[in-house]
Amino acid sequence: MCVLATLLSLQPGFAQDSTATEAPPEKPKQKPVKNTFESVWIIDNQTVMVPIKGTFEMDFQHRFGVVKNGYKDFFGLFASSNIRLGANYSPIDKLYVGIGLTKYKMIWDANVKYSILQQMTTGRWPVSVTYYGNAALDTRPADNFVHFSDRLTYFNQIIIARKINEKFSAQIAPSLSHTNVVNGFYSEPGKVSPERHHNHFAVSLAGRYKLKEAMAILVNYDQPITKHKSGNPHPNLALGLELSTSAHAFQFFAGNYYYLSPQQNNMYNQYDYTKGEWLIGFNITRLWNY
Amino acid sequence: MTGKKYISVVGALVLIVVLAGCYQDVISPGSDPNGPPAFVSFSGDLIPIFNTNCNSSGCHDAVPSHAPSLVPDKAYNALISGGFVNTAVPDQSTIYVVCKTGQMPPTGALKTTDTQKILDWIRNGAPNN
Repeated sequence: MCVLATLLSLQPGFAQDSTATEAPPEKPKQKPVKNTFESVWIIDNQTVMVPIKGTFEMDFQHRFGVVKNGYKDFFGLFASSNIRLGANYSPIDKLYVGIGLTKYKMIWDANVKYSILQQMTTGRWPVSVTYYGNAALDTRPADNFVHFSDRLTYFNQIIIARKINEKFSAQIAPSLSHTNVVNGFYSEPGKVSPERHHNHFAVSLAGRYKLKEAMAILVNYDQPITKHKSGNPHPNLALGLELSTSAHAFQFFAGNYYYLSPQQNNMYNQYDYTKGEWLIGFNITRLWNY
Repeated sequence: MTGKKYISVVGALVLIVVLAGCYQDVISPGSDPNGPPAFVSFSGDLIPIFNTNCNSSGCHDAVPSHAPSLVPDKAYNALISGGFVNTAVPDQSTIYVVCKTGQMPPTGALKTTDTQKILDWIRNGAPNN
């Protein structure tokens, strides 16, 4: 009797165990992949990262002069530098909005970033997809412009990224820049034609390889696609190092983009790496969670 | 505020900016480079451009950290003797090329009419007038 009672009391226990061990393979839990990148920036481009709801973020970005002048301006560090200050906030998950001010042309930008798809640990989405767009206002004195609308430029980018393994993440980001005004030239006596298109397509490739938990190598390449009649932009090749903590990311690199505003960079970059026109720059981001 | 409201507010802001938005304007350089160059005075037209954009922020000063000096007393000699002006092929002159491509000034490209004044001055033979 006693033995029977013991067997009966054990029976449900065995059944419980077997269902508990069998259940997980039937329902694998999908989770978004975390930390594809450590910062919202990867050198001169945005990453797929959108901070979680309630995150306030600040950007401090610098681009110095070209390195090739050597000691005369201490490898560009004492040359005229370009600076951007930015502030962003995530009011809801997957969305962040921000503003920034760039020294070059005193450009104010308002930007929006929205995470359309997130790479999942298993199953459905092998990549993350994020939209980034901005509108920028050139705030130099009025005598530089004919119409108010000439101050405005726009930038739209679809960013596609994959965290390939714990150490390596890569992204590709096609973009469209628009400027409201271009310079003209006399194509024939008395007739002014535009020097360049108002819209410009480009594509950016970027990758991150982690050397240690908080240290990574960054690579970024930007290829202009649209061809203009004059003033074609040069591509950007940049190589850098990223040091990160949970709330900071510090990126230090050498590249060719000076303007900090993505549409200015993609449409007008005149620094050519084949001529050795490298410049040093850094991005610092700081996150606060509220 | 709910998520939907945020999206509609942000959407409305984006819409305002876009509607204020896209133009395809073209700015005339001011004078026709195929025609005869317009008259440009070095002291009357170009020096004011240098004063506004080049010689007052620690760059092309009297003792310049970056050559050439573009202060009124020194600008002409510094440009001519420093090889920044090419009267034989005016549109290849360094001073014109760096302004035209937007490399100088580093705080934002000159107005296209100002760049054209520099070119016309060189096409006139770069006189000290």
